[in-house]
Amino acid sequence: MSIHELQQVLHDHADDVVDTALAGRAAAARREAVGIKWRRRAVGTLVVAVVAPVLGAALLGGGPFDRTGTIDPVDRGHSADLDVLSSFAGRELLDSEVVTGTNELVLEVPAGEHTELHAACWGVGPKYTLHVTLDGEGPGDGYCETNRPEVSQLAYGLTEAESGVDHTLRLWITPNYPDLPDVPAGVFLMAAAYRSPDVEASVTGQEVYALERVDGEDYELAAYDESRPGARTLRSTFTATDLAQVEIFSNASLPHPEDRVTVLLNGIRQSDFWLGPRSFDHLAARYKGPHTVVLRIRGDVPPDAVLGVVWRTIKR
Amino acid sequence: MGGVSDVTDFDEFVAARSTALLRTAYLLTRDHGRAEDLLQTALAKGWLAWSRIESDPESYVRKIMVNTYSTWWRRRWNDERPTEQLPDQGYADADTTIRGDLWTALGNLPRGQRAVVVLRFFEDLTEAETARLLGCSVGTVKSQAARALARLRIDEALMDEPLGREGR
Repeated sequence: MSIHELQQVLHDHADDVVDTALAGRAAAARREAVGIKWRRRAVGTLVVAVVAPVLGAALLGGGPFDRTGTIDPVDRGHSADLDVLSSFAGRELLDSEVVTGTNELVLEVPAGEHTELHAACWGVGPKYTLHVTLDGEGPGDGYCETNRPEVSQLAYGLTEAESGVDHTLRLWITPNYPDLPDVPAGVFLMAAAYRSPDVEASVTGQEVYALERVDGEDYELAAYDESRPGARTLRSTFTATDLAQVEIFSNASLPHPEDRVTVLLNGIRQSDFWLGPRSFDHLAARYKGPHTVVLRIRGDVPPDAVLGVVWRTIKR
Repeated sequence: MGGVSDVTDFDEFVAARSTALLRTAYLLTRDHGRAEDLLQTALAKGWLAWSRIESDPESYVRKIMVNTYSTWWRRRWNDERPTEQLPDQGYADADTTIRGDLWTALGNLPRGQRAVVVLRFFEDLTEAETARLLGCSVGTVKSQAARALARLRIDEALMDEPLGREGR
């Protein structure tokens, strides 16, 4: 196989991609930028620098993106005598480990209860990248923190079926710049398994819990709406008496590849996403009073397509 | 940031380059929805830094996009679906079957190697340009590209023409 064939494949798949949301793209980006600034102020912590050469520098670190390989910690480190949050937002701690003096931590998670897994790295700041895999795949990567996060940086909610088998959660760090030690002084790695709360509701077939923690605050389930199957539009209105958050859901067993869902909050287009079994992260409804979310499917509407909106208010 | 001319310049930049950036995002994520999310996030961060980057916004936004992709994670992952389930074009004959296999193999590359492949062989960046964008050495780009091509079972000896503006 040749390089030319590789290039052909890349172009075969990419050249048909067109930004069909171009008309509102710049305005939506500016709105999202406002949200980024707002979140920075709200959480009062340093947001990671977006241009830090994490990827490239991480490549220097001996295959940090290799999901299956193992690394040889310079030092196995030792358990850190630190408490892990025993509960938050309805989650109850099942097992945890915090280590220091090492660049890797593996937590074996036995089959059992409906589980949510959490990972964190702190003490060294964004000069290091935390990588996390579950059974050798995803969930992802993030910068290490300088200060200990309240709960974690990465979380992965196991489905009922996934909770029925053993899992291995693996964390490791890589330096983002040359000449940094593999095992920096002061680094802490934490892995934790929490029992998920009872499912409070099912929206578009996806689990919804009574509480979610967003930027350090717990938000309570206040209301939710779901469209009837096959409906093109869902309009959901909620009167906020305090800070509120919105989660967006959709589902369809066989969505057409061109089917998209447009999200409007208070008449302002927020984003588009592809119809399917997805949920969106939280949108903030930042003032008291009525808020309206409209979800609209563009393209063909599969007969089993459903849309959902979950409203949460801050728990005082 | 935020003046009328800034808004105009930003809008013109997005109008001109959005689709090209989206194509790169799609090759990185292999998911139309996540590609749009990635582009939107990168453009938003680009707008925040617009006063500093307007002389060469595309490089900056592309850099944000690649770095954001490498560090992206979701607060809740249990609704995530493998990208392989997304509809894809069918392949009918032997040649296109090979291409389908290659596309699948690309999806199995570690994220760093996939980023190098996309930048080098789709964006046609030189090794030096790729290294600058990724913030690593040229040697690292070379080694990552070599590993990726080996995993894709591509014979560099079958290269049809020099790659990039500096060749290899």
